[in-house]
Amino acid sequence: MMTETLCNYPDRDEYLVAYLYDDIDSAEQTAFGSHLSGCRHCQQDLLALRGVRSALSTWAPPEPVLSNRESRLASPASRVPSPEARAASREQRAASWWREMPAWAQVAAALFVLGVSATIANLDVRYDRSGLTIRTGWSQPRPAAQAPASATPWRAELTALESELRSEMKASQAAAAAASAPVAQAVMSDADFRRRVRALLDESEKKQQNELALRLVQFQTDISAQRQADLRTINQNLGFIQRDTYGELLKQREGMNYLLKVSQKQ
Amino acid sequence: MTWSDEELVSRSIGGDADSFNQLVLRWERPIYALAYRVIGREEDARDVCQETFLRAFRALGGFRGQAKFSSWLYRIALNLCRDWVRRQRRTPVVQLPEDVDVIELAASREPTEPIEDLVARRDLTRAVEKAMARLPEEQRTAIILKEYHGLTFQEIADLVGCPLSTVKTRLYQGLTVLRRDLEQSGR
Repeated sequence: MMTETLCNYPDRDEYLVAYLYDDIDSAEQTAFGSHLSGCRHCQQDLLALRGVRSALSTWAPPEPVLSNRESRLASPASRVPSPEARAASREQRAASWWREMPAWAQVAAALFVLGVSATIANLDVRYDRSGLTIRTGWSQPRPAAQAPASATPWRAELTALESELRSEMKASQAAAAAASAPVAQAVMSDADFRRRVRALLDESEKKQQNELALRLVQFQTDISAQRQADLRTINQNLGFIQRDTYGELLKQREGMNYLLKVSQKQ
Repeated sequence: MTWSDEELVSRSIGGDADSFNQLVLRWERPIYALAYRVIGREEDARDVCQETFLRAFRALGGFRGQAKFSSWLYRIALNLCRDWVRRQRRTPVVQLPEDVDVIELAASREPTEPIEDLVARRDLTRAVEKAMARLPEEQRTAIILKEYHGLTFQEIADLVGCPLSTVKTRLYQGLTVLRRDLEQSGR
């Protein structure tokens, strides 16, 4: 016989959930199973909780971003504080900072660097009959009005100092280039830049497609909802019409019956 | 050859860094999924996941093998999640992933699945996320560990440090609240 009222099985909730997840020993499973066959309340509860489990199964976490997978996998060992690890981490942060910088900021930074370089190098850009001419101040010929270098003793010293500075700069540049060969890879080449622009364009296009798809889905949902609402309204109106027609028919039938009765009496 | 977790732990303690990397590869996704479902924020879940492995690596020498490595890892992750929730002092809000791609989603559906079903499925997922976020932390954790990680009631009890019957009660109550919430939202 089915139990209609609330169930009095001892520790019923615990057994029910254990039965639901099949995490129950066999004797208890048999005992609760036989109770279940006669208890409608437990049956309904079990069915509803199975439905909840089914709904829960739709919830999946988003895919983790694994772009830094290598660094993360290497991290437990490498992140134990050590000077090398800290330096590597700093380099990585700097590199990722550059990569994560928006394109407009990179362009602005590049223009700024170009401007500063042009100022330092005393860049002279001319466009005349002979075409486009770009000269730096260092490569610019000295004005003819200037006195020869040997004319004044301080000029010779200045020239010597200049050449010394130049050689030092060249040496330091060569050393820096040799030392920072891996870093140089981080500097964005034209190909990298093109790839980045292409990636940005692709991303933008993808976003637009997503937007369009979302709008389409929304549109379709709206249309469907509107259609349902219209169908409901049509059904209601049909119902009214049928009711009215049926009412009229009844009235006519009653009238006819009355007329028949009256005519039969006469 | 596939090593067991415990063997990989022994090798890691012996100085084999690659063994620990294998453990990370093996457990990264489950730990991330656990953190995401408890915390509800993608980025913070990633941080918790990373911090879990970092702590595990540092404490590896203290792992004596009384429990399974996965249980030990889950405990670290759960403690970090609890710390996070306390720090935030707010109910975890499940955040929908920013890069939900409807086109990919549509492509992933069954060829015969109508768009209405697809939308309904997404709505159901959202409803589940919201309902889960409203649950008390203990009930949510019990449901997550049982439903998504397949731990036994005893393992959950050991992990969260409460009696076996309490775990079952929390689970039953949590599922009942979810059932009511989903029914109210028309699911």
